[in-house]
Amino acid sequence: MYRKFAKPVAVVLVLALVVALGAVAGCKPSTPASSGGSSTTSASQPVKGGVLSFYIGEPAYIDPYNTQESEGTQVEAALFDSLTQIDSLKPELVLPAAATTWTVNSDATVWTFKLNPSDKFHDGTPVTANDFIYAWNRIANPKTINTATKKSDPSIISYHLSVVKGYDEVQKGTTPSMSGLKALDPLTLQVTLSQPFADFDYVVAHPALAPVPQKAVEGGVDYQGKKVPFGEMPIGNGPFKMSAPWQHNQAINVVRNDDYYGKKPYLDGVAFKIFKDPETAYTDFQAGNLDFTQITTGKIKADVAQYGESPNGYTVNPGQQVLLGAENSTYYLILNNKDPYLKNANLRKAISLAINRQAICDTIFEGTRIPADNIVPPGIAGYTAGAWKDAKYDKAAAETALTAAGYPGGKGLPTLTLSFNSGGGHEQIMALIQADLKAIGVNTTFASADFPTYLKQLDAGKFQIARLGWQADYPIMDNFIYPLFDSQSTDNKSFYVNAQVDSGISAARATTDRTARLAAYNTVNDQIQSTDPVAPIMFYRHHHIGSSRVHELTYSAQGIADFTTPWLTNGGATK
Amino acid sequence: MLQYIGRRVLQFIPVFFGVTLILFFITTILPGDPIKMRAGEKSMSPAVYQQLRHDYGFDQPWYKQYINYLEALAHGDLGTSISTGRPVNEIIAESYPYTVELAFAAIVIEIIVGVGVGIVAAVKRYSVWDVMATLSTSILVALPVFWLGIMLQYIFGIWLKGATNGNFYLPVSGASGDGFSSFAHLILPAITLASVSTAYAARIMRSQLLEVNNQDYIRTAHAKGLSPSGVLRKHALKNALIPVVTFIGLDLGAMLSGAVLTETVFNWPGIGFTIARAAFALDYPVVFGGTVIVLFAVMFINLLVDISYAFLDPRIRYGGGSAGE
Repeated sequence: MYRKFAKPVAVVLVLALVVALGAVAGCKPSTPASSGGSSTTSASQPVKGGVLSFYIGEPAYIDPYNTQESEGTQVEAALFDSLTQIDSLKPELVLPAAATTWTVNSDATVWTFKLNPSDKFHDGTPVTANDFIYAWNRIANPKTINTATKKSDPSIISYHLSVVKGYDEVQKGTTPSMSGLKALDPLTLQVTLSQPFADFDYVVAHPALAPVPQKAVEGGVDYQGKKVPFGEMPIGNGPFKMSAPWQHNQAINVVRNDDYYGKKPYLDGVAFKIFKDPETAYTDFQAGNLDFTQITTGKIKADVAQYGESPNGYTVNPGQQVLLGAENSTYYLILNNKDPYLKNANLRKAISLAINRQAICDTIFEGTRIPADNIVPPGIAGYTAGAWKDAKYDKAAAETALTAAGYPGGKGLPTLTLSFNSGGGHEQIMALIQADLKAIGVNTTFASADFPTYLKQLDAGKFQIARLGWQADYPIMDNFIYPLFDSQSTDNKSFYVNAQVDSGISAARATTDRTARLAAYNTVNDQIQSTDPVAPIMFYRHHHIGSSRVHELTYSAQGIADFTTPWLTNGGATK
Repeated sequence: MLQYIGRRVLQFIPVFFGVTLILFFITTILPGDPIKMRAGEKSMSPAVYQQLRHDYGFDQPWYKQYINYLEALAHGDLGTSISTGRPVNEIIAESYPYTVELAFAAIVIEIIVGVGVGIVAAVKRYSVWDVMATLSTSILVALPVFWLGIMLQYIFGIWLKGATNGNFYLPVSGASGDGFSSFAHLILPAITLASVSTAYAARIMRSQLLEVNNQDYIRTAHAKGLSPSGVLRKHALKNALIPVVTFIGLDLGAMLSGAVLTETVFNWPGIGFTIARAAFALDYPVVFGGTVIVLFAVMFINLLVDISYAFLDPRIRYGGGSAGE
């Protein structure tokens, strides 16, 4: 008798299930249980204890000699201390780390570093000048072997040491050690450069230039009775040490180094949780399992409303958990200065002035980018706002420049090519730029290729307008000006050649007084921007969030978090 | 039978050569320089670039590279990853067990739930259960698997945690721990991975069973007085199972090649994502190594499926014998 109701009942039951699923999908996930209300403030005292879980993607290497991307560099910065360190919030401050003091001679070619005698590796052996020499030669030598596989595995980041005397000979293979490195005594390292470089104290702050213990690198690391390759469980001299080997694609767990010579961390440890996808990491954050991660697309405004924004953009505290500070990376258009049309400076000027950068940042990036008004971002020592005068939106001025170029209203100008690499999400940006250029009469067409082919085209000069991004290795102006604009630089993709700029850079590099040096770089910057060889478009921003139990975690513009300052509410004990 | 198995194992060899040769050839015509990919947008020192090209054999013609690869493979060496400098053997050895674990968990769900639901739906044709089964399988087949995964994460990882005040919830991501993971982390990914296949398995089981039930010999069995459950167990199931076993076997083979979407959503450290990322980075040694392993796994599973037919259908006999293949 009930059979004739079977079908409708079943339909209703299944539809109810679907509706329930949809309702749950639609409703906002509740905030994690541990976030119990807005806390009063971080004026409370730091509490020791707890493990902070931090999102990273799987690094390629965490051994300093070959750390390539931000993930590896981040882990490695927790494990190792280089000669100096840069203040997380003030890039003009270079502070002591493994070196207590350093001096430079009058023409900035000889640097002498005095090492801290209490600095020890995690296995107890003291850090000496020879450990730095060994580490740096390992990076510079193209014949470096991976001691675990016994196969050749040279460092692809050897460019950090390109200013050291003897680097070229090592690269050619004539000798395995750079002649410019000398240990005057176990605690004094003298570095002679092949050219003046007054910002060398910034270069040596890079985590890749940390000392490494030769015995452990060549013989492996003891772990539970077995020998583990150094690259899987590096022994460093930093505030944290590995508690177990690298669990690939899962986690890297580090614990506090209680014998650390510097400011000891409050945290018991840091769990670097490795995720394939920032979206999954964000889900884990919502589930209350992650203390620091990236915010997923589309949720920034909602998260700012729910969790509060950090006033300085870089430091997480309860109630001020969203970080939106500028990062040290610039997205810019390369203009082929050798192209018969684009070699016209007024045309380049017109192109730069025609682009509405704010619209790109707002519509495509939901505010996670800032319009660029300079080739160097705000987090770089020496940044001045508006230094690149044509990096702004001014349609009228663009039209005037176009006329001055000889193409009034775009007449007489053929269709130009906008090149970019496919699959990198650049299509939308290019679409807006194409529309902006059309509005002043410049017609463009797209040319996209996969990334390796695209790079080849750039090197061969087969482009007119293309795009690139530049991420600073050190927060100094030289790290943008030299690579992008010096005629000898292989990263100068726009074929810009200006002998005056070249000598201006050399002169700035030799200026030992910091204020004078910054002024010199800014003069060079001004010279460069006067002919618009490239068009800076936007700076990247942090779009990160911390959990509500994290205090004083600073994630710098360079993308490195300092784990010696943060602490967790109640030392991490909530349940 | 043993002869048949022997012959099938020997077939592995030409298949292996064919696949690897084609793969190798494809990589030579693909654009892109794997070494330059490592440096990204920053340029690499020329000395290091030349050294790396030499290390990975890119300065030799492609057929020579292939021979070198085979030589190394004969010694069990799958090469070195271009992106990380680690031996490919290690990379696969640490991720493949997770893929196998997830695949088997999903297959168990698929067998128990899929076949079970299919049987119930067929036996109680047109009842509430049948209609519910048909409707829900239709919906499951239409759902994208990653959406289902994300929904399960929200429901069981976030909402449930909030609703029970943090007392009861399922882990949302990761595999937790060395080697084989704890059971709790496996639940959601296995359900997600199994979902669509379970729906298919249920429907195939149902339609096969319905078809078999219409056969004469089933009617005869009923007429002889055998109980309905006896008919099901002794006659109907065995005959209906062959297409289902085929489907489940093929599915297991597919899962053993790495479930990229599920692995990404749940951050499961299996081989699917490893191979996918290596392909994007032009890290060919990892792609080849992963493909070779997957090739063997899939061929092995197919062989098992074919052998199982001999047990399910007495008309099928391999190697010699009057019935022939």
